[in-house]
Amino acid sequence: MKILVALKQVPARDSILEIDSSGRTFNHTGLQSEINEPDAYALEAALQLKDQQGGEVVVLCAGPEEAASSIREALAKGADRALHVLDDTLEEWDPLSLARLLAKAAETESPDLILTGLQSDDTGSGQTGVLIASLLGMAHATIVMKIEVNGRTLKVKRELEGGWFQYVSMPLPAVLTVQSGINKLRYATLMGIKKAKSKEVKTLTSKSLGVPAGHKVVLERLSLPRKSKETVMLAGSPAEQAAQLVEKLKFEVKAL
Amino acid sequence: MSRVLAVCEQSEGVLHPMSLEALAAGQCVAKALGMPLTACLFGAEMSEAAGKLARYACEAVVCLEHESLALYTADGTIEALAAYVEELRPHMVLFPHTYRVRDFAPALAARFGKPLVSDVTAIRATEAGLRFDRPLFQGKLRGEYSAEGPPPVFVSIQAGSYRADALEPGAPAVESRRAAVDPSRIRQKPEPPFREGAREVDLSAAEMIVAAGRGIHEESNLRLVGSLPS
Repeated sequence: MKILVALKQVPARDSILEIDSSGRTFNHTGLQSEINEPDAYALEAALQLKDQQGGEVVVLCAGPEEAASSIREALAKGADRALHVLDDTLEEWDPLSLARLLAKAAETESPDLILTGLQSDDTGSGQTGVLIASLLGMAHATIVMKIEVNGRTLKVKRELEGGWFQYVSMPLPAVLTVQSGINKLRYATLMGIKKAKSKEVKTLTSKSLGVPAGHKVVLERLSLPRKSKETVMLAGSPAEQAAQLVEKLKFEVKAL
Repeated sequence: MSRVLAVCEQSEGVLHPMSLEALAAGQCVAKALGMPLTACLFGAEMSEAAGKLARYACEAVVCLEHESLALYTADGTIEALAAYVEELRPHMVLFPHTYRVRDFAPALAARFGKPLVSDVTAIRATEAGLRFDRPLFQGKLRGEYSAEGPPPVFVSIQAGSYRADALEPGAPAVESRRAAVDPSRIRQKPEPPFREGAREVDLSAAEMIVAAGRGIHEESNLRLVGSLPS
């Protein structure tokens, strides 16, 4: 079985982001990068399937030159080879055109299964996996917790809302978007890191794939969310105070 | 006439609470654009959910019915809604940003050559056109987006962004239609949803939470706690 894992390199979770003078992007200098967390779980799920059933794990990553470090990390963990769609402008692409680019690159591999994270920690559109499936005419399932492959059929456990789950079966080829935390991420071994250096990384471009940038949804302006420390005394009877508190938790801080 | 369509969600006749928030967003946007609002539901039997939606102002509540939509599947839903959107040609399609919507809405929008504007916290009418606010980097930044090209624009609304209790009341007609679904094209075969062990209680999904501490003193007093939610 050939499994393709689409992963994205994103700024590390603890990064402090400064909006640049254009107001449309942030200052990238000095930022640490990492594999998008849900994608790391997708990679681990792929490696576990390979451990059980054999086959090949191919990593697909679209991004600038710097994304090579995330690709090498995935190869060091056990992926067999990688496709790097090299482009510096992807931040400006809308989610559909980005998915077209990834789908076109994925198509060159004819994978049985495509795994990716359910969303990225940066733009968080949460669309890439579903769109790749739609563009390639494959079945899909999202927010996947468990994957079983039986021949040409796939059975997955999906997380629904409110503590509910569901098993769904579908034929291969298929695309799954994986929930974070579904498995235990492995570390790259020293041997793995050494081997990764000689593994094949094929470079593609939007031009070579014939996919132009799309700008149907455009980021016009970035801003920092309003942050303020404010003490408010709630007045009234206990019932009135409780109602005001619920109101604030629900609509001001959105904690409920 | 161009209109706003709010696609609402129900399961086994129970309306998803975020559906009312999507409807509230629909009322706001429809008013700002001077367009009528239509609400729609999809599923097998949904008269109860439709009844709840029909308490609020919109032109109609349309139920897209098909027995193969009883248990949700992405393929069935995309097909049913794509046919309806194609026929209705709305200016904007709004969804609540639920787990289910994340599963089908991007592919539905792609059928119309559009990306979904997902997880939107506010839709604002400006001189330059509509602007959609959404969080980025897990809420560290806020992005203001525009949507280019011909309609429809597909938008999912984040929980708590529009208020269900601010909905304008109304009495729209409820219309049932047979959804255009070919069951043989549905590739996902779902099993009935289930809950995991008792420890997996999801407090965020509870309609009401009653907390009791040591002050309750005796086990026999726990009956009082049990009686409080009613």
